[in-house]
Amino acid sequence: MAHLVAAMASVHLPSLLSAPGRFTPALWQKFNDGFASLRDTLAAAAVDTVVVISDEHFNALHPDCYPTFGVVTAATCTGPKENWLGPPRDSITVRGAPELGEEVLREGARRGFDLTRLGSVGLDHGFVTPLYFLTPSWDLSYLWLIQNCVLPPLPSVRRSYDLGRVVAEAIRAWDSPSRVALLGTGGLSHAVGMPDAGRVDRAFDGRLLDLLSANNPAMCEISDAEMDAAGNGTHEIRNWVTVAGAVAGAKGEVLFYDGEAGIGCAMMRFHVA
Amino acid sequence: MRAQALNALLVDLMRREETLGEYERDPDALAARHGLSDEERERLKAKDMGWLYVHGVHPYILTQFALSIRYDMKQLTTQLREATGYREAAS
Repeated sequence: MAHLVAAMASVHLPSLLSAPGRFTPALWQKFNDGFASLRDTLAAAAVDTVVVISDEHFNALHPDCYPTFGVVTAATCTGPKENWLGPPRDSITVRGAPELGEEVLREGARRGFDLTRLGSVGLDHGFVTPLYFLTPSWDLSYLWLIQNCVLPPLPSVRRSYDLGRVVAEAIRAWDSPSRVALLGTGGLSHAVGMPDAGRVDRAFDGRLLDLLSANNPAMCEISDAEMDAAGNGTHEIRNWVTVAGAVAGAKGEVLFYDGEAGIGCAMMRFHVA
Repeated sequence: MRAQALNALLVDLMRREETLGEYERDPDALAARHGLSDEERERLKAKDMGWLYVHGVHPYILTQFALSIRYDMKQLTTQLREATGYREAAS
């Protein structure tokens, strides 16, 4: 069986690549230190496969056909699809993890999750931005799980947490010696394309990070109304919650939090045995 | 989804250099191909972001449209606030 050996979460804000001057040197130090720490975790755990849990922002998935939970089972994916992100469009091709993807689909069916098989999906900033810093050689295998955080109605946070269980069991069932890391991306509180863009809800973020660090299932009670009030981009915290749901109650540590740049920025790592 | 034709056009523009080029060269033809109303066409040509937001362009699509055309993102937020009467809460 494969082994879940690392679990982490990070913001995926595209400005890290497209507008780096937006951030102060002090905040860049936090980003750089955080990414370095997570790179060390990946290396120490000898990770060869990363399950990336993020939403997709309509660069490849169309609003006319957007699954609640999609499993990208292609052998390769290419991106970024944005023409504004920084790395040239389609300059990055990554190796997929189709066998693990099929395992996730099977485990989902066993557990009452109607997951959607996706073929090759163009990579967008939700995937590219954190991995640009975490695996800059793009030399691992990557299974992308796309979770709808952008087009209501969205899955409940509880559902996102339970999806984590599906992922964990699929890894266990996978007949492979692979060493697998989970990476949830997005959040934390922020507003995109809305009048309140630039507003950060530090109280929401603080409470969320406390719940995630303790792996407290009370996180499943976070409501759409609370996330709407914290900013429409806040719905991406579901991707962090899925990682929490996968690690069987393991506690976590927050590497940093900063709300000075108009978005709740954070990274964390769970203590996976 | 509201503003279906507008959202579809902008998603295409986000993804394809050809569509971005057509928006810049011949936005009337692009709008006609996507079945935009006269008002939608004119507001899109004018980059009236506040109107587009209020009339149903998805916030993520609106933002990435703005980024694709190298729009001033502070100006985007200003237009959204003016269109909606949003007032920042006092800190």
